[in-house]
Amino acid sequence: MSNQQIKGHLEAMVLAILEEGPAHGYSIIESLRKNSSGLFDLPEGTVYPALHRLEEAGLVKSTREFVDGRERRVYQIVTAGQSTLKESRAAWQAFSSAVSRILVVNP
Amino acid sequence: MAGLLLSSLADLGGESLMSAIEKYLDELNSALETTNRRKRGILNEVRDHLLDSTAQKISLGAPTSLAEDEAINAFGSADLIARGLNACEGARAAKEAPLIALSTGATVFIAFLAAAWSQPINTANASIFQEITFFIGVISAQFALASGLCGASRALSLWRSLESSGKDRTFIKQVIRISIISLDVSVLVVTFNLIFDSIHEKNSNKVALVSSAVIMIALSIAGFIKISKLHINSPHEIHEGSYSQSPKIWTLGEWVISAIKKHPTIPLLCVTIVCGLSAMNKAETNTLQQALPWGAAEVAAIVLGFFLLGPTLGLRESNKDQAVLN
Repeated sequence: MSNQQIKGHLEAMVLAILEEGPAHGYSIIESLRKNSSGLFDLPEGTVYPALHRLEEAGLVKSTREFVDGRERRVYQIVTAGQSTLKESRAAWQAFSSAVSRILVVNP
Repeated sequence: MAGLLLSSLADLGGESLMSAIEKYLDELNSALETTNRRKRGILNEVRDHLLDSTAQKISLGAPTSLAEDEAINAFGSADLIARGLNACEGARAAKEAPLIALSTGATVFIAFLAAAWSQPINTANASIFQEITFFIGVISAQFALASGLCGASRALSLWRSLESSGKDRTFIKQVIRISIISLDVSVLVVTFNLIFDSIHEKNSNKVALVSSAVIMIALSIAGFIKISKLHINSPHEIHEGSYSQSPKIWTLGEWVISAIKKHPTIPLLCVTIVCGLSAMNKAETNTLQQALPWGAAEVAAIVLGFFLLGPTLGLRESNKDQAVLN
């Protein structure tokens, strides 16, 4: 899958991962890779501009916390982020089912 | 696990690992365009990521030297990552610009009010020099307010949005700079007015006048420097987040501006009538005939400002744009 295809949905996927619980950048990219069975193989650093954009838009907040003995920046989804995620899910479902109806050939 | 591995990285040839990561961070540092404080935060976060990634690869059996190279390669080129982060930092700076202008304008206004209230009530008519300087000061302040509102409106429309184009960020910085320059002109002219007052009025509180003038000049210069130093990073366009737009209430200002752009005659007429009458009312003159030139000057200044600054502030189409449309 091309990076360009993923990038349009990166923020929504990051929000979905953060819905499971607070996480730092490295664990977010790990989850993305794991949950996509390795299909989403973006340059790992691209998750940070996405996280910073989400924080700037007030959809996630970050705090400094101690993880594995080191102080880390941990991101957490906020209420506005949950609403945006809900909207993104609905939009994606409508889009993907429309594409499927056109692309998938019925037996 | 990662923590334990990290602590033993130095024993496993950590010197070369640290230098490779530090070299990458140096490269990223040079490519980042933001304040030093923000750079520090970003670099710490990236360092943590690279150390985690390296430790993970070592735990899977990779040799240390290979693990560090793989971690850096997997992270992406410093230039690519910096482009994304710079666009984000630019968006943040664009939102900050109207707040700087607002705080500068508000504090300058307070200093001016303090100067005005500290003076005894003057029953004598103002001289023509005082009238002219005060008029120019007020007109400049009005331009500062109008351009500040245009910049704030665009910044508000982007406040809750994930998208911010370089064009929007450049617009905000340009318009806010016009606002601050207009404020600087206003402050300078009002300062002349205050100095004139302190020389010619025997009972004037000279200390308060001079201190207010100094405070106003210092604040407006500080505001201008702060705006000029903002990293808008306009060449770094981003078009990645395609779904999140600001709620409608945040784009109300932009809606009003686009309505003015479509039908400029009625709003311009309303503003000139209100401001013209207000200028005549505030002019310290004895008769309506004497007040008329001030009202006319106010109307002329607003119309001229609208035609000259309108395209830059996004309030009207430029002649070039109109020619393209036709």
